Amino acid sequence: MSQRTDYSLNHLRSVSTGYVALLIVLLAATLLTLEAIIQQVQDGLVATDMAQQGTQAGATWGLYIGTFEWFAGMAVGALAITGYIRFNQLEQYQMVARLSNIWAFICGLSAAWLIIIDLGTPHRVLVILTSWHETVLHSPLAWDVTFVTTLMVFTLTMLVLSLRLDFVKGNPSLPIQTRILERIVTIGATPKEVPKLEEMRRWLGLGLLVLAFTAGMIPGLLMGVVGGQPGYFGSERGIVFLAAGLLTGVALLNLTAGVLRSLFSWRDALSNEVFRGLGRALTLFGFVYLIVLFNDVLPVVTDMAPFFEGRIGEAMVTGSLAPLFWLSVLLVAVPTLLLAVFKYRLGVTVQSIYAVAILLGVWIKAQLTVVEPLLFPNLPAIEGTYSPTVVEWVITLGAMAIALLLFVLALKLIPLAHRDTEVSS
Amino acid sequence: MTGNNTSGLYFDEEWESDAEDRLSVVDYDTELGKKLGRDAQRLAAGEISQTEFHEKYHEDVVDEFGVDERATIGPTPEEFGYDTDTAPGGDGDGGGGPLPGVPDDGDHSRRSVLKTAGVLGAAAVGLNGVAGAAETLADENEDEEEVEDLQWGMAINQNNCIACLNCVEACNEENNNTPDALWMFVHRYVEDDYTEDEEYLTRPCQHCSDAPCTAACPVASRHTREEDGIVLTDYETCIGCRYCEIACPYGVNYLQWATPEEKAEFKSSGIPLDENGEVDEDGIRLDSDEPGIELDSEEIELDSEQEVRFDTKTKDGVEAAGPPDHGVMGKCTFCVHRQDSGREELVGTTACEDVCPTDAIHFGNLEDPESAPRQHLDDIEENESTFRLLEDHGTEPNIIYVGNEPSADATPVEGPRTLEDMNRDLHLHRTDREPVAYPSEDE
Repeated sequence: MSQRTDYSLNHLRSVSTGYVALLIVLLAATLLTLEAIIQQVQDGLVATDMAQQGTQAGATWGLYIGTFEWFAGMAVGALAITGYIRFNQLEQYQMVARLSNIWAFICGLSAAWLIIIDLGTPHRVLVILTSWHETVLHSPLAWDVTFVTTLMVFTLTMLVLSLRLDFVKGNPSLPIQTRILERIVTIGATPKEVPKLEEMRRWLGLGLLVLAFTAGMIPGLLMGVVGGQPGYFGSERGIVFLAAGLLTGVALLNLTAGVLRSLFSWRDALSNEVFRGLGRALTLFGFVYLIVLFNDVLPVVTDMAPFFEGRIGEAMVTGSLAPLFWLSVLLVAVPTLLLAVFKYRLGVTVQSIYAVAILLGVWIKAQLTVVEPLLFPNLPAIEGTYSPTVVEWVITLGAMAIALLLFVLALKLIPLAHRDTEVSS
Repeated sequence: MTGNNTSGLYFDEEWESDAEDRLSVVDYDTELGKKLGRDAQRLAAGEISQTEFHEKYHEDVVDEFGVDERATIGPTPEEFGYDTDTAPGGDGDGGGGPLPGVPDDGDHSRRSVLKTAGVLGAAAVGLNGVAGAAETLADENEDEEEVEDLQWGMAINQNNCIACLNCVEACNEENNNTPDALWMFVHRYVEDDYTEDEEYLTRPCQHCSDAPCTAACPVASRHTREEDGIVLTDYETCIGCRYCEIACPYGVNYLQWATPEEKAEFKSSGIPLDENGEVDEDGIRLDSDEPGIELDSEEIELDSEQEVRFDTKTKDGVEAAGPPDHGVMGKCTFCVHRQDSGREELVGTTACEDVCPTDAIHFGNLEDPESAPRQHLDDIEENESTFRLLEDHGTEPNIIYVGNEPSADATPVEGPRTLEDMNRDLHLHRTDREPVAYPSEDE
């Protein structure tokens, strides 16, 4: 056990060589992504491998939509974690709450712009807003816009509210960029409002939880709305999405907290107890995800399943897509079982590695969920294929790099916890 | 003003009381309702004209309902007549129109207001007073609608189809699509392992009455034209999200993945233009001012054999005919440029129907018993089966097939359109795509 270190605001000030190197790598990735986007806008979606389902033997949607689902799920998961901690006033998890708050916003943003990238004519995205009042009652994408906007407004409100409270409660010396932030979020604030802010933060936390468990299911349900494709329709679609979102949200927090503790040794704000709690949540939601997944998949491989659904289920469990499907299952199941067997005491590093495996496993399944039904047309046509192009890979991985870049920049702007926190460890 | 008059109108105390009871359950002005009711009876009895009736209550109706388009559009009797389904206490939903914001909402909201006003008046009148007159007027209106109702559709006889693919080629030529966008396609398949018989399914857009693509569209670009049921895409607002393609179970949508190289060449044959390129000698509107459809006077001479250009705008001014632009979704339009051309010889025809050598495709107004599809369906043998494709999806397609519907596990086989053809077209813009193969080729 290394020496205990308390959380300080040094992360806002210090700029290490490693940080600069990471920033350069992420900025380079962002530029590369921008280049790929420009190429795609110039050439059209022909720069991707997406093609018409049926006579073009392709998949109409691909990596962008799958990764959108993944990001949107993580946003919902992170939102739920923030809400849970704030509502229950779990002070020892306050850094986790702040981290998940930041991630919820970034993931929502990433999901939103991936949708725009997926449009054949991204410059027309504003048409969605101008038509919103007409189409929101029946269009899945209009719902999506509503959901992502609501999510971002809620997360941003919680971030501002909780920061205002932290700043009002204590006034440590802050670097210039954080000082500016403080000035903005504490406009008109007085110490008298601390009890009110605490109550507001608590009940807004409940609001976030409600949002996560209601509106949070919408992106999943959207698949059901376009139920003309076998494999998309089903009463469990929202649950599947939510289960995946909660798991990836917790995994992302495990990974982030693990890396931050390794780098800064904050053993008060990210104590062993906090990691055990995060490990427990990872295990719980890992099992929930697996149970929901098997309930989703198993019925369609029985003889009683309708033909089209059965064909898709078969392709996934034993057919052409089985290697990817089972890989996605193993990437979640193995860490979940090991965490359960060893009672979440495998250490921060191992727990972080497991989190990476889980994030990857759910990401692969998100791609299968989107692409698979599109490869099998209803009418007698050729089975489709889909092999993402370099442009698609660059943009997709670039979206992840940009999300990380935003988080890394946020580390230099936003205090991760109130400095005077008393932690029982 | 009480008691029956000689015209058989009912304004007695019983009527007043009944009217007040009925109006007490709606949120509108009772007195106005009673006045409307009385004069509605006079209108039905011919004592006052429609215009007088409209003008007399115009301001009151605007005050009460916020809108009154009756005087300008000339409401049909049905629109303000008695309707037991929507009247208070009736079996319906109380006269509510469609939810706000649903496509084509503008027209429905107008109708809803008129209907509500009509219900109010009719409720005040009571069944006895106006029923007879309303029924007469409604009957007249029904006759009128029978003539006016238009739903373009097709009867396609699969038993006649020989999979020559003339329809596919004619469609692409007419609409000048890229070779990989097959708005019309002929699926060729075998049903099981015990027969070698190949069967065909000719597949244009089904122009569904309950089209899932229109509901999925986030910008209301994909829409059903109310006047004739054609499902179209507004190319100017489509954002290329492909939700329509995802929602459609038939696979009829084709995004313009790349920039179409010959977009400016939306032509067809046999229609002469005048020198301005706008209106021909028969008065047909053929706009040449729109970008992308500029006429080349050098190329096009006023010769009936020359190829000429259609307008890419429909008669409503929507950019929805011909090939879509880069990043925009396209599909079969039932040759909307022909239906909107105003030329008798073109309206009611499609390119695919014109070239079919076996008379398998019959296009026309499904509401008209004399139309080609209806006549064909009347003429087929009694033992021939008909079907609408994937009918259990509830999309209410407007293509009626004669023959057998392909079963779920029908196996596609290589047809006149060879794998070589397919791969050539599919790799037109994407040389790296994997070549496709029919299942039978793999085995």
